Amino acid sequence: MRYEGPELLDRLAGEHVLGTLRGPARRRFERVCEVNVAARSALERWQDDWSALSLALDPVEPSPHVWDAVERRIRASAPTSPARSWWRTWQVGLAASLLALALIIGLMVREQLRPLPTLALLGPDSAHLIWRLERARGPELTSVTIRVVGPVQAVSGKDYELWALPKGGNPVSLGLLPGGGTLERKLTEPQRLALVAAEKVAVSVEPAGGSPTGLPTGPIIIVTNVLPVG
Amino acid sequence: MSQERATRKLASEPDSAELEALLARCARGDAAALERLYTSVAPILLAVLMRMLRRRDLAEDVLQDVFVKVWQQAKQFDRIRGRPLAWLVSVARNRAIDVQRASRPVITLSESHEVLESVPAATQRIEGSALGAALLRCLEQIAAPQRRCLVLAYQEGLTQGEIARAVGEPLGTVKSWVRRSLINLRRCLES
Repeated sequence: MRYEGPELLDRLAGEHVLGTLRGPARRRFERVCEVNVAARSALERWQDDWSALSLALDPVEPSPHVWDAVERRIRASAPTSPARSWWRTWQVGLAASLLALALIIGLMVREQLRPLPTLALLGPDSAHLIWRLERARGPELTSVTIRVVGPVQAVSGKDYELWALPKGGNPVSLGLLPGGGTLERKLTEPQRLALVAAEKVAVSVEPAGGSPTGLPTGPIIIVTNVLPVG
Repeated sequence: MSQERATRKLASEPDSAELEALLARCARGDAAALERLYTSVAPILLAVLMRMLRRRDLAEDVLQDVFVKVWQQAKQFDRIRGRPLAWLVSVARNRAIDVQRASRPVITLSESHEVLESVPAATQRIEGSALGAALLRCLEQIAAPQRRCLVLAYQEGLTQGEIARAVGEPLGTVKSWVRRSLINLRRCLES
């Protein structure tokens, strides 16, 4: 099934929350929500809306054994206090060193996995984001990453083009936007300067391959602020 | 449904900021926070689960699973900050939908009648909260037979096939009612 179009996404999200979306279709939509921001926000909106009806029910006090069982299950996964013997102490010491090592490795990995700073969120509105423009790691703005985060409506014979709108200057093309996945784009010096000076970026619909004139020629469908990178 | 009961219900509604703080402590492995969370929301979730599963033993088993899952996944709540109760309700409902196919007794006609009668009473109770008021206002704009289908699906956890049998309409009709009602509901909630 194709998940394009905000109306379809919203209806599927509504059916998921309502519970009428079942079986493989339900699983499939949950997988879409893992990667698609628009789908996930539609789902969360419906969850919020309907939860009022759950609160309308008279609360029912659970039997005492339920909490006992929860407690047993969560404690089963936690370590119990060890008996103090010399080898036990040694074991604990070793575990602590391993834990410290794991933490250091974890921190190093986290640095690599840390999300890249977002430069702009592109979509018709904040609930329907399509692309995320990220700044690449490193001190200079030499490249950007463009990530598709929502359904891209393909138009035959057309491409979506990204523009930096530097204050007081002409739009400068930052290239075509991808229809799916993630794209890293090296910036030329004029592109870099335009983006650094830009308060806004825009998306226009252009003939396949991009604007023939170097300036936007088709309808501008998105204009959004460049976010401050902190 | 007396006014007194409505007041009691609204007064006992847990505070979002407090639930958020408890979830954050759960994410850091604080078991005392899970117990506090359990005390304040388990009765609400059990009510939801019993309506959907119609068996107390089954609902309590699921409730147990839900809190173990909340303990393990409290960190995930982070990205959807600000709506802890809706998140907890959806964890419970999702788990109930997973288990109900195999083990839930089939709803009888008299039960379904009882369920339909209880809809106005249930909706009357949420009039006090802002979120509930919007939902209620928009549900009221949907014709009664269609509204019943939505409430049977959400609150009673019925499949579309079960709803069709409960309201005595063909499955195709119920499916298109649900679809159209959701679109109308969204339009209304946005207006």
